[in-house]
Amino acid sequence: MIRIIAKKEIRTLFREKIFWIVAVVLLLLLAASLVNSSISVKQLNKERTEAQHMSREGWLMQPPKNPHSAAHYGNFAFRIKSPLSFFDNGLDAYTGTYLFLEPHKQNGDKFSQAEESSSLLRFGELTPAFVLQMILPLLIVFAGFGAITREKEGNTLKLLLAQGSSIRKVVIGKIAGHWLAFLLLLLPFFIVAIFVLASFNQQTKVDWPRLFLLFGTYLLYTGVWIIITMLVSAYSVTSRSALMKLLGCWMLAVIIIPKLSSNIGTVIYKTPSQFQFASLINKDVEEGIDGHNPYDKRRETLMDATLKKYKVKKPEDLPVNFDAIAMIESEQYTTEVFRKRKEEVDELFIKQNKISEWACFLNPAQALQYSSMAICGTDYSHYHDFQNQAETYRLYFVNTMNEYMSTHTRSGDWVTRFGKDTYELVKPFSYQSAALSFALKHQQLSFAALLVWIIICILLIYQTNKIKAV
Amino acid sequence: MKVIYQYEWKQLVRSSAFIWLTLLLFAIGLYAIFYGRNEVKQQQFKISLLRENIEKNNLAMADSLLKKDTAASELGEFTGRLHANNPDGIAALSFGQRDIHKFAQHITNGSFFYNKYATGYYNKTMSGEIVNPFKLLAGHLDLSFVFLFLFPLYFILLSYNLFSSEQENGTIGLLGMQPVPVKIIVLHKLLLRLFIVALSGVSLLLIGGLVNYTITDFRILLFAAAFISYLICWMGIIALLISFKRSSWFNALALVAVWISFTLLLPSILNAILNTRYPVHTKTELAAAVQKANAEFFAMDKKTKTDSFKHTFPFYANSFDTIGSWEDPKFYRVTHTLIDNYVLPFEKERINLLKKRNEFSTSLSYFSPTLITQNIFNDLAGSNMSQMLQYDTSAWHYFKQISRYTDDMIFLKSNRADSKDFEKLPLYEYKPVIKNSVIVLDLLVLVCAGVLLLLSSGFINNKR
Repeated sequence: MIRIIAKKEIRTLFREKIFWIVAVVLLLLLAASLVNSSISVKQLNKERTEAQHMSREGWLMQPPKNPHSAAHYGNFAFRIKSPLSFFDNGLDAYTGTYLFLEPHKQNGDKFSQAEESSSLLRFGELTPAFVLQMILPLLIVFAGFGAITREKEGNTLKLLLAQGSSIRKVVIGKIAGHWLAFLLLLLPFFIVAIFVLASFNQQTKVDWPRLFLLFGTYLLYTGVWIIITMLVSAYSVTSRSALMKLLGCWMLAVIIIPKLSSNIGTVIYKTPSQFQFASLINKDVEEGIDGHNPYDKRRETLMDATLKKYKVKKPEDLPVNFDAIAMIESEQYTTEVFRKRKEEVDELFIKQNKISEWACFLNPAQALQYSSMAICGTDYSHYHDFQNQAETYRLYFVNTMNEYMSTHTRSGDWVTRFGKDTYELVKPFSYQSAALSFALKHQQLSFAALLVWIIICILLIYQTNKIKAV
Repeated sequence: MKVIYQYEWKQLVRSSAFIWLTLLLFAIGLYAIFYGRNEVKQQQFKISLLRENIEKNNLAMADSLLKKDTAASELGEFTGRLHANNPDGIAALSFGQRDIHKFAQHITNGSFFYNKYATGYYNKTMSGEIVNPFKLLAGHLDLSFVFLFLFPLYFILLSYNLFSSEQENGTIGLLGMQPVPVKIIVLHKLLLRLFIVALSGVSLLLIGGLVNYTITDFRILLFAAAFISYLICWMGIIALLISFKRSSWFNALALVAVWISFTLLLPSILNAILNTRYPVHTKTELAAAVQKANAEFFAMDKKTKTDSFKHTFPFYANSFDTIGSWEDPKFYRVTHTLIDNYVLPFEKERINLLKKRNEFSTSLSYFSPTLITQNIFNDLAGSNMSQMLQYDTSAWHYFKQISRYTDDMIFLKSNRADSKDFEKLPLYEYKPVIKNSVIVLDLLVLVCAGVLLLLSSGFINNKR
């Protein structure tokens, strides 16, 4: 019976003008978003890869210098966009494109797309994720709000029931029919998306598990909206009231709750200002992390330890450059201070974001949004990971130069110069993109919420037998 | 006519859906006012912290200058001035782009562009604020959002079946027997709804004005005018669709489709067009220029550096022979000035491109009444992109003023400064420029579009 209803539903859908309007709008939007987004990602990655090479060349082409001075030339860490960011740009528009890495200072990332954009950007970016997350649910509602109410209004539901069916079977049949119809619509898009992704990754392989998880998640999301639409239609008396309820749900799910939950997060957990943050770091560096270990004392302790290590009494007798050793220690110390304070800010952001993540249990649209960003490598944890890798590289290249200076010169020697061979000791920066397990680990709540939504939907379908036919 | 209004009003207040919808909208509106107020207070608090710190340093400097003079280079280096984009009460109603851009900078000596583009979290306020990108993505739920997104939907839900419900309930014949034409009755029904929606919005605006202490600000009136013009535009759209005399569900679907096109789809498509015409390139040249300038000018020998400085700034050419080493203030001023001078053309290119991009974006916004109204709201609140750009560039001009003032003392007055010199350190308060003529033009566009759509609906009514 379910199969017959599903077949009939697909046939009816394909006969309806509104479904074809929905189909054309959806496919046109998806095609436009795919073209727009993939061109943009390709262009940006080309620019950033070239810029990263230029930065490397600039580093190696420096004239001979004292190694610490050479480190001051600095290096750039450009953020290469993840291949799947063409599908979901996530936070990428709101985070910077590069970090300038230099001794003594931890810089913030620069030039986010948002800084250079007008308020148009705040309405959303035309990416496949935008279309599938925001527009697709509305199209599902348009195509399905009257699926069961019209059977009631036309008294055909009673006929169906008289033929031995139950309301539950009718609902399941309709869900299956609509799901299959939308699957047929989305399938060509997914196939084209795979080709687009393959064109990005000519050197590396397509990350199939990530891709299938992404498509699977979107298909589940499509299913959740179809189930909600059918359930509302089944519980409503008229098509008009079903439409109103569903539009209300859509409005809450894709526009109000995401904003509200994020806004509440920042109202509860207040972000410190740049000035407050910098003041804390300055204080820690000057007075020591514990407040009782000032810079002079740290330097004195280090001097004693170094003299002891080399079994000499005066700094002039040291076989190494103590200035460079002090700089290594100082670099490690300031990095420790920075990481500690940065971690506090990150934890604050995580707390702010957690409220939105918990809201996923109220709102499937948010659960999908965060899962999708995580799979595409454009969520907060991936951004944080890039910052961490860049900072690790900063400490590595600065201290590689400082260590070279410490072993190849003597204390007070700031004039001996070294060239390209020394600069080549520093390996180029290359961002190692995180594995899928990293994405899953950092978005556990949103993935769990999606599963909970599926369970809720199944339970609600089970309950539909209590609905009256009129 | 009075009977129509009375009857319609009674019908509406009897409807529980109308009451609930209005209450829900009011609740969201009140939250939006609270949210906007909170955002403004947070930024004001952050600005006040920086101001207090700068004032504390300045007081200490003033005290010390009463006892003896000091090196002029220290005026700009250790004290400096605050350069803030202080949000006022109107900004609480439309927060716009304020969360993306910096709003409090400590202008000191040094290299402006190095501080802006290279030195970040560590010790400077010129490179940007700490923001949660996740929050930026979600956007604001301020009053302008409620006006732009939710009020048109409220209007649609109250009005989509004005004519079709009469057809569907079989009362259209009765209406046709009245001495007044049906289209006029429908228009009055629509006007009543416009009045209700506008009154709800203006009430929220007044509450917002009271809460933010801006009720006497003239801009509140313009804010209300923009909101009402936006509603007039929507009234035209609704009237036009109703005039096709289709079923209620068709009207609802079509109006929601128009709503989503204007509020979501069109802006995202226009943004894509904007990005195609003016792509947001990685600022490789600018970033490399900062890096190169910093490395090269510090490594450059004193003679070449001095000659280069004197060539660029001839008014200081005769004041000194050559710069000293690291301990000489002239060493830093010359090096930092040369760095800024080198980077300036790259920065100008960035600003010019941003201006062009922003102008194109503004022209694109005429495709959607939502975007036009948002521009008006943001303009009034000093929260739009062009005003953020003004603030950004004014920081450079203010820095130039301060550094020129201290440089004159460093290079021309043997680097000495007393308390009078310190008192005269330039002061500047940033105020966003609000272009009233553009706002009036935008208001006219909205009203004209609304009237044109209303006239079109009348024409279609006559035809059918």
